[in-house]
Amino acid sequence: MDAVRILPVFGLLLFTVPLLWPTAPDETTGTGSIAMSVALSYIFLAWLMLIALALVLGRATRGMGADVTQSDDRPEVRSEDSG
Amino acid sequence: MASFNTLIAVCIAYVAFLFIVAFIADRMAMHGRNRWLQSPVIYTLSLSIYCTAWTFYGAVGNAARSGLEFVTIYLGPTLVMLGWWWGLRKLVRIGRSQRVTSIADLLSSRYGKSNVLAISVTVLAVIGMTPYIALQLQSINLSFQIFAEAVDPDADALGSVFWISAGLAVFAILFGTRNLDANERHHGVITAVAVEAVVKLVALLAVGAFVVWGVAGGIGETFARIDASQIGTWSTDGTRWATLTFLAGAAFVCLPRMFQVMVVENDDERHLRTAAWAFPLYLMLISLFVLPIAAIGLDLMPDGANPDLYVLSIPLSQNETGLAMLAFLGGFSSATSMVIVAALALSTMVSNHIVMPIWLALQGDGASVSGDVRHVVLLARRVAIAVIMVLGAIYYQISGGGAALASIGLIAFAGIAQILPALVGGLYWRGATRSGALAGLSLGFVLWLYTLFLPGLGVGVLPASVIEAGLLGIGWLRPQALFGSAGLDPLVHSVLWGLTLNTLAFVAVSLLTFPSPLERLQGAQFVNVFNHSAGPRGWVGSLAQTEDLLVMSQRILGGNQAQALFVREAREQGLKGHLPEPTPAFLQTLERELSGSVGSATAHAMVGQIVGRSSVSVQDLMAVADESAQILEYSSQLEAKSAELVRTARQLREANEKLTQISLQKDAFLSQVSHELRTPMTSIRAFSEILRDTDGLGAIENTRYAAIIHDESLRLTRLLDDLLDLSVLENGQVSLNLRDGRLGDVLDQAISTALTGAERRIEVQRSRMDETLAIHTDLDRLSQVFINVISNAQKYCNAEEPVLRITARAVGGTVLVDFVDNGSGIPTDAQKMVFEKFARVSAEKAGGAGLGLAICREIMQRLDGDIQYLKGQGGAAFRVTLPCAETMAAQ
Repeated sequence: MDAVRILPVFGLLLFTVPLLWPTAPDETTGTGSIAMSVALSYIFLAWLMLIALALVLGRATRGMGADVTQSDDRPEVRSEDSG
Repeated sequence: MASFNTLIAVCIAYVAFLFIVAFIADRMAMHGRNRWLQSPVIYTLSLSIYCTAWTFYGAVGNAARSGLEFVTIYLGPTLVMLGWWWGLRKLVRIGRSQRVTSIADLLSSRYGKSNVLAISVTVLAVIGMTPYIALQLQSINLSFQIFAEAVDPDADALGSVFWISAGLAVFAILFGTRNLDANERHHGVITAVAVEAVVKLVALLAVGAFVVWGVAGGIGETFARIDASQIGTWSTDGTRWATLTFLAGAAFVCLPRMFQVMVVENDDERHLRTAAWAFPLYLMLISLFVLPIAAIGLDLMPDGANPDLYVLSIPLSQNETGLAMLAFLGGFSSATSMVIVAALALSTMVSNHIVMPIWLALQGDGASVSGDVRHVVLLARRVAIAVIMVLGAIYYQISGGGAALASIGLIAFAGIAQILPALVGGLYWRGATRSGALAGLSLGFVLWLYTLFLPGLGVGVLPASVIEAGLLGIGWLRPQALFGSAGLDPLVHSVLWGLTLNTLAFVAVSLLTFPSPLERLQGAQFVNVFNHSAGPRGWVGSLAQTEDLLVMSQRILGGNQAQALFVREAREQGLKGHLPEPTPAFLQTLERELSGSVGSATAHAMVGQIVGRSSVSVQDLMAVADESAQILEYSSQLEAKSAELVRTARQLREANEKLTQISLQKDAFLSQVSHELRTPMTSIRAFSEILRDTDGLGAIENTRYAAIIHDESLRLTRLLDDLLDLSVLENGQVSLNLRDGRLGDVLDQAISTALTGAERRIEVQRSRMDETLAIHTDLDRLSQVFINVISNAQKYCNAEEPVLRITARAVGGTVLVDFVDNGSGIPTDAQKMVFEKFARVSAEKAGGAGLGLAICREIMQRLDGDIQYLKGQGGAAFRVTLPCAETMAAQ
């Protein structure tokens, strides 16, 4: 349950990593900027991982928060049928 | 190259197909076979109207211009979905429990069912959505143009935009306003939207796969060509990255059409659990090939080609007409589904929050007039859809259709995100007030208009001098550099100032103002929705006329449905007819049902017109508005309770003392009784042994010993008799022999019995004149009491010349007989105990077993009288009380 709560924070952290990447080649240190293919791979892999986590955690927490209610308008549909 | 006419034919065929899907879904829902329609898959797919033509065409264009920046538009919603447990779950629960019909309805409902707020949000939403709808028009127009170029290179842009918007308006009207749904749920539309979601995803994936494997020749080659292209390195500005992610997340929640599919059309909260991973997956898939398409397009297409249309133009350039057609249908799907749902959501808001209140006001006491208002609602919605489409077309025309798709979409996002502070504050902060929400919303709206919307329209609406030098020439008010914050990206600048000042105003005004009782009620309902999902008690039903309510409901819900509702409610109340009692609970149910059709503010107003009574009861006011009074009341209750506790403790302490004394008395008595029993038993045994074992006893001795044994046996019998007598009296098994008599006679008999055989007789002083009182009682038992009291005086009076004074008198209906001697009396600490069983004043003069007075008290209580010890009479004094003989007194 707590893992479900913390997941968006984790996702936020993953998606703020690109803020740390240099946007132009740094002349003094010689480090180049990140290649687009690398950036692309990172973003989509992180994305995929979050989706997988959400899927697993969603399955694991199924049935928790039992206060979840059923659709409240099904009886109305039936009453329209009968009437 | 496909001909223009083929294209039109395909479009029409596709629309017809969607109609059939929607029609079948509606029929299925009507027949209750909606299990499949209510599946989480349909819900997730319907959420995909987030991906409009902007995604389909604009994302590629955006990627071609600024690399990976486009992905932020999908990362924001991904994070919001991942955080469903925090936010969306609550939103959906509130939406369902309050029967909210739109985001404007939600805010209006939260802030005391305020119509002003609903109108503000509606206006904001309409203005904010206008660029968005213009965007869809533009994208469809452009895609038509690219196909039509071969046929008619100088296609009339204005004409085609007109026809496109007219077509979309008709489409939306036919789809969304065919009937007035009580719950504002449209199974047909949602199913069609889900189908379109599949079409656009398949189309984009197909184009992407074609580009990666068909054109570039594999993933490795694609990566190489991406890195070699002009967007080959990471170059996204950090502030824009963060701002856009936030903005997309905010817009995802606040967009009217997203609210429509996410909250209003939600059938089951548990769908969120699935959508939490499935919708991010959809977003990821749809943006998977965007960057490859952009990079290959930049490489492949001539310099002048519009990157917004690479999805179409790449397949066309490779002569893949079928794929191009699929892509076209994908783009068409994105645009139409968005326009339909947005138009639906907006027209619902317009009709519920602007048209209906005005119409009702114009009708005077309209709510109770008969006639169907549903046609008014439907007409209002249809007109609203048409007006919204016209506004979109006008915006498109003014903005010249030149701006890139992505920037138009972002303008809309920034506008609609102004709702966020009021929304979040409303869900999580009970102190948020209507004035605060209005202030924040208005300020944010004005700032957005000034810093983003009007400049976005281009030169003409806002003079160049204002943009260059600021409003009235004040440099600090330059639209794109407020307070001197030049150098920021215009969008980041607008979002930063707009939302910051919006939030500040919202919080500050909320802190300064005081919420109305209804706001407080609704605030508690919203913020603590998981604690109590019941609605606030709304109406005082005594004044409502059920007939009037039925007439009104029939006009809004339709005859059959309204009657069904009333019959159901009547049955629930246990009534036989078809009209339920106008209880507060029923009125509240009715209001919610109505709000499903016309919005909460209007429904509240309509029920209010008939019920005619303010909706907040005194109890509600006491309970909610005046919490300090509650605390005071609570503390005074505590004080009262604590005083009561002190009293009880004292009583308990006294009882305990008495119990301890009784216990001691009992112990003493038990040893006394055993002693009493033992003494006669010992002598009986001793003398019987002598009689048995000693030979030659004389007759005199025999008689003497036998007499002693006899006396001792009598003593034992007396003791046991007393005990038996007491237990019989206590168990109430005694049978009274009630007779008429005179008090004096009883006393005579008692004195002679009591003093018989006494060595030193106590002198008895009597006043025979007073003793002529008639009594009706058990004379023998009364005599027993007198004997006991007199013999006690005889036994215990320690005066030199013992005197017992007996006085009798009648007071009211009772006879009082006092026995007062001139001895030293009973010690104070023993006075309480004299009537207890086994009580003995002094051990040395023990004659009986200490049961005499206990028996007396039992007897007197049986005779409806009493016996008490009188204090301060100079000696031992007892008062016997018994009722007068009524028959004698009557004579």
